[in-house]
Amino acid sequence: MAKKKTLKQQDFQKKKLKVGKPKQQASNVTSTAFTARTISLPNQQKLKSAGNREDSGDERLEADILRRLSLCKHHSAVTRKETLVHFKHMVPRIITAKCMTPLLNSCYPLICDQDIQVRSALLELLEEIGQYDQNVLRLHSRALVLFINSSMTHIVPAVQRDSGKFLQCAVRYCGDELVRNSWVKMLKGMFSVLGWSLEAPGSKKSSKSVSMGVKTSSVVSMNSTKAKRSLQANLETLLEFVKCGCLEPKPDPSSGELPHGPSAYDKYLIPALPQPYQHLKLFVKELKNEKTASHSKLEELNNTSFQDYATRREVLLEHFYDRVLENVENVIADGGECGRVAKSLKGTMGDIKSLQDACA
Amino acid sequence: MDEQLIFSTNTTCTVGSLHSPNQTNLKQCSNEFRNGSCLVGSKYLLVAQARKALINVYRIEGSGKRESVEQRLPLPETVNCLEVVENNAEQNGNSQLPYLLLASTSSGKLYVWEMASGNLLTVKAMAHYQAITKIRSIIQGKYVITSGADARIMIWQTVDLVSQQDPKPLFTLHDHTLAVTDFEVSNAHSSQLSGKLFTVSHDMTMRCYDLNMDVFDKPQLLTTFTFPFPLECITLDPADRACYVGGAQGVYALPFYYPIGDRKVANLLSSDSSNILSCVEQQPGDKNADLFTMGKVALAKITNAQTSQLACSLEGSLLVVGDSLGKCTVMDVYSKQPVKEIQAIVANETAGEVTSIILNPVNVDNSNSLLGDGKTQSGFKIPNLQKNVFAREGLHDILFQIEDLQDSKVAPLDDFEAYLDQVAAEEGTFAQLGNVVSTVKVMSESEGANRNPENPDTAQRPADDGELLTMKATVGQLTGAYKELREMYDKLFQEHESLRSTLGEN
Repeated sequence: MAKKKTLKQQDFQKKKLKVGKPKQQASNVTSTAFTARTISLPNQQKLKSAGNREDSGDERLEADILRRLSLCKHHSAVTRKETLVHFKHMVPRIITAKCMTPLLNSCYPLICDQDIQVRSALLELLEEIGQYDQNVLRLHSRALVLFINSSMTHIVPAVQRDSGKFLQCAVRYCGDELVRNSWVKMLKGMFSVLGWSLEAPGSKKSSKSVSMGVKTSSVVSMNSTKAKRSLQANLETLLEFVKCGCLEPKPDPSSGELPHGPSAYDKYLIPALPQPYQHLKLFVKELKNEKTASHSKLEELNNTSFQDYATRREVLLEHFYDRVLENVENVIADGGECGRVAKSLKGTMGDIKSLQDACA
Repeated sequence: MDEQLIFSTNTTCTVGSLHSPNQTNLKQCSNEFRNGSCLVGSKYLLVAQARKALINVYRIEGSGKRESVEQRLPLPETVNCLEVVENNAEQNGNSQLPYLLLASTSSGKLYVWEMASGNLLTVKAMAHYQAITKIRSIIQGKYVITSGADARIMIWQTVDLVSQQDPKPLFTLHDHTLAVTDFEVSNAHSSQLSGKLFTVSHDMTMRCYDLNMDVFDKPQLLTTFTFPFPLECITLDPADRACYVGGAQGVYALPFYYPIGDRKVANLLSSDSSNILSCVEQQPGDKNADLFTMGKVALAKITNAQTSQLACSLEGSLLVVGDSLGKCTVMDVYSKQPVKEIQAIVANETAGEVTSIILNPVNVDNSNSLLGDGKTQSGFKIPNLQKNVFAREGLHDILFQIEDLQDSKVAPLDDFEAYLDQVAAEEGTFAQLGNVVSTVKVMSESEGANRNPENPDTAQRPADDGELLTMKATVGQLTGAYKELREMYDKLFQEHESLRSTLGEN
């Protein structure tokens, strides 16, 4: 018979373990179980569409595309490249579908991808989209500019060199939007890709630079063929961009219609461009620029949009003309393919100057 | 600035926005008929419930915005369409509620309630012979247009609806042959009945009327456009340059200034004669000029979705297409590309068709201020809607709250100088309260009241003195009267005692 235990001793008694039964819980245990009824995810959107499950072939295709979108961020470069190639094959069938927007949103970040095959696959994809329907790229030109800009200032030199190719593709299909909304940004970016500085040689800031020709790492090995090829491509891009922005297209003499300028009532009719009021930035929350120190006019112009040819020519001549001429001389002196492109660039700049002087 | 998109389907209601990914699902909301929701001010949303005689009120803006039902308004019967007539009589926006709430039922009955008091002003029994499909108030609330499933459109004067026992419409348009599903009034109008009215119906036509009463004595039919399928919805470009019509087979964009050939633009809405134009889908290789001479108009098709509601954005470049599966697609009009798709956040996928879309530009607070004005504004309830028609004799009382005009508060982080000025002003007001008065006290009462109107204490002082004097005088009188009465009583009592003693001795 157990002795009668005092209350103090009862506290220290352990419960006996029973075979096959769970360990008895301590007396101060609290249950933290809960049933979640609904979870609200205010910042996420549903990708799948509502509807019955008997999907048509098109809808299955779209669902397939949407599932593959996350593969664009795969850690293996081969997977990313395969995804982009698959998208390129699908483009003719999905060009008018609603999945184009999420597709482009996932693909644009790959402009800054470190693998060269992924970048070339992406370039092919963008070309394909542009061939089928220009308007898709024009609609998303804002996002495209963002990523091209970030690739132009990327620290990996290979990405920087390839940014010129993307800009060339963009100029071909949505050049109009690009020159209107991001004229100064793209010019500054191209200058940094080509390794040309923007300050005047006599100013104080140039004393900080180490030596004459080496400003960025993109021209580290100046004489290698790869660098030369990329220099030529980038020069061509700059030339095309400048031509698109400054020289008005001459009316085609072979077509039967007489050339005519815009009529007086055109501005009252529905404008024939996608998102015509994007440059007013009505619905965009822009961060306030807190810099109060005096900076050059060029900084202020970074976010302005230039809607007509004359303004763009003026900005080009005022801020970029002299720098272009100086650096172009060096390239012409080196000779070869690059020299030829540089010479045509010089010629174009001369044309622009004379055009502007004639108009002014 | 952002554009708020409020759309309801058969089982859900969602408040989202066009340019940012925010989205809220409103609870316990189901809407069976089209055009059954309306916005009151910018804060409250009224939704007529399906199969229940209720209107759910939700608060969707401001600090107290919630997903749950704010208030439920019981009704005499289930209603289909809702519309509010705004209170435009007062110049300052002090009244919080609009003037009238109009509701219609499946049998064509029209109810008119006054929102500030809840009184049911009129019930029009057979406003339409079948259900009413849409109600809109136009020209700042002076006229109301209703369209019905009986192929009629009625234009009423709001004054008639409110004051007459059996109101009659001003004009009835019965050109359509099947149910009129939607209509829109142009954005260009003056303070009298004017502007253009565009109506679409199941009889595959869209008609345009001119409502200008200075030119025509009744609404004049300008043009009729025929389409290859029955039309469900219409929306107008904000500058009335084009309209977008939608139906079971897609959405067409119809420009009113139609380009035919080289630098020639035809005005499709000219008032020469009543035209009938047939609209076909644009094929590549069409010559617009040839088709136009045959009376055909080639239109671009924006999408193939089965549309039930449409809305156009503030600047006219985006179109919101609500389809029969319960999702809203935001499309760019020029490039015909879908930019965004918004759907209700529900687990089941049987949301039903989109029954109403409201697109509303709102101001987004971009400042980093930590202060909000939320706590100071208390919520208010819409008075319950009465079920009996208001008897027109006796007093007609309306209780209504005038909002206190407050200066906008400046946060210390935004503008420190202004914030300091504001704090100094508040300090000054606080310094005046209490018994201590810092201004000079004027001896004569009337002069004091006139000279310091804004200082309540000095104005009250002479008034208090006056009151005190009158009260003292009254007290003095009363005491005097009491004393006299007391003396009389004492005298009488002593006489009584003396009489008793003399009687007692004898």
